[in-house]
Amino acid sequence: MRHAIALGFALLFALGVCGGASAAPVTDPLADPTTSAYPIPLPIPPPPRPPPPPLLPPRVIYRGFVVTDVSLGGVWYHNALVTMTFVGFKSDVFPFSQTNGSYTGSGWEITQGTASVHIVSGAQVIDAVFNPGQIIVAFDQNNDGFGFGSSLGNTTGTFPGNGQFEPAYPFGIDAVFVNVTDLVTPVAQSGRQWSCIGFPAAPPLGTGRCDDPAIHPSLQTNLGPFYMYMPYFSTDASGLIVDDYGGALNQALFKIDVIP
Amino acid sequence: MKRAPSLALALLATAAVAGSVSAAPLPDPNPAIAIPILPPPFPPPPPPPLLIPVLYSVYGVADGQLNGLAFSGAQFRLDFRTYTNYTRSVVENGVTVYRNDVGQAVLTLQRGLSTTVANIAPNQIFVRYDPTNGVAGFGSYAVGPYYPVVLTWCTEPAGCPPIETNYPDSQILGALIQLREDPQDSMFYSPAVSALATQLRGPALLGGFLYACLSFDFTTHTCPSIPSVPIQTDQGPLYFQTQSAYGGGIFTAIIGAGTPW
Repeated sequence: MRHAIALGFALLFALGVCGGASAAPVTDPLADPTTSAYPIPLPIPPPPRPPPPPLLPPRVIYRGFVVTDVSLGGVWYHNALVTMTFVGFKSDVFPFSQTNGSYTGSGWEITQGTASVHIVSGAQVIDAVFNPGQIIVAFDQNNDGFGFGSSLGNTTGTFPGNGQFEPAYPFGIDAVFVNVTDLVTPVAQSGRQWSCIGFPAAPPLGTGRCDDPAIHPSLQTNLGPFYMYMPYFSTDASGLIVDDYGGALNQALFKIDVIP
Repeated sequence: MKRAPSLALALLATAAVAGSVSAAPLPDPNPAIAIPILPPPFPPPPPPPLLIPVLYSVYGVADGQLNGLAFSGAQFRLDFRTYTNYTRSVVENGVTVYRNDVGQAVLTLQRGLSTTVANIAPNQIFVRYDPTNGVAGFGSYAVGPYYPVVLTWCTEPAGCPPIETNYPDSQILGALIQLREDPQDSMFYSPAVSALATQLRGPALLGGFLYACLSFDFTTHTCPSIPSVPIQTDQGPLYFQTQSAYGGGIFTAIIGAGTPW
């Protein structure tokens, strides 16, 4: 009994030292003070403190924002507010260089991370997470483009797996003056939205058109297939996209944040 | 053949009786107990107009000051919540513009991972779209129609030259001017572009170069000065002072009461 009383006082003291989590000791509601074997209320000990979370390496967050048409889980959203987010470790950002014919891209990319999309359409707010291995973030210094590329149809969970690489789908951006310097320095940047399967689109490298996403494997999310469209673009008189920079009309925003 | 004129006369007679209904009390079919139905002493008041909520917003990246602290390259969103009923067309400098002066404005400013929400004191800014010159955004009573922030097709809202046609422009605002002046320019744009024409009374999406400066110096590419009168917010005085040209911005109008801020 003395041990119980001593333990009770010790715990009360400890609670006081810890900042007085509550103004009075918490009593056992089932204990009848007239018949209980305990002469004083027995405080319930606080749960043990959880161990501090392990220190995470610095993370980097990429966000792209645009107002455009998307489809998620079979539901079409016209001119929705679309925010794509990719979160990864800073240490997973690597340089890349790739040549396709006369077209060379080089810069920085991150292929490991978690990609998600946030859609606001009227009063509806929808959040979906992409299956792993489908989305990357890249900055092509050679061509002043940046944003979210993809591996369409990849089922391996690791980029690029067995998918079809698209540098400007679902959401590439280009700008007149690029303030992005790499993918690990915080910056906010505006530019033009490219949601183009088959980029570069302008001849002679491209066909002058972006493919309809619906004829390609979709990006998969926890809420079903996701498609992103580029409804606003300019062409020549024959209807072909002839400018891989000014051809896209719709403005977009891109932001890099780093969590140290 | 005689029946046709008879039928016409009968219909005319019926129409005449029907037309008199509102002018006089209805005659009771049984005159022995006839009680005339009298019109109400006063006509009922007209129903109040249906208020249609709308959220106008400009998204972009800008420099400036809030409560004496400078911000640079900050992503922002400037919202103006109002009703389309207050959106009106007016003639300014000889052209029709669409503007709304009655609303509540809020600035959301993202500096790195920090977000500041500043409620703008009333009666300072208004929404304005000039489709003739391709300028859309927020003006202020203290400074003018191009400050604190507007989007343009030519980077300088007060000095855009007349737009040329027969080629594609690189901004939605420019494309819409061309389509007004020469509908044949639709050959240079995807079909969805022409559907973006707006009078700000419905959903809208516009895009262009962002201008957020009292008077931008295009020789030095700087915004050297701030207005003498700041925009007052609950977070302190606000100035925009964007130091670079050719950045882009997004203008939207979203209809509906449930639109999240």
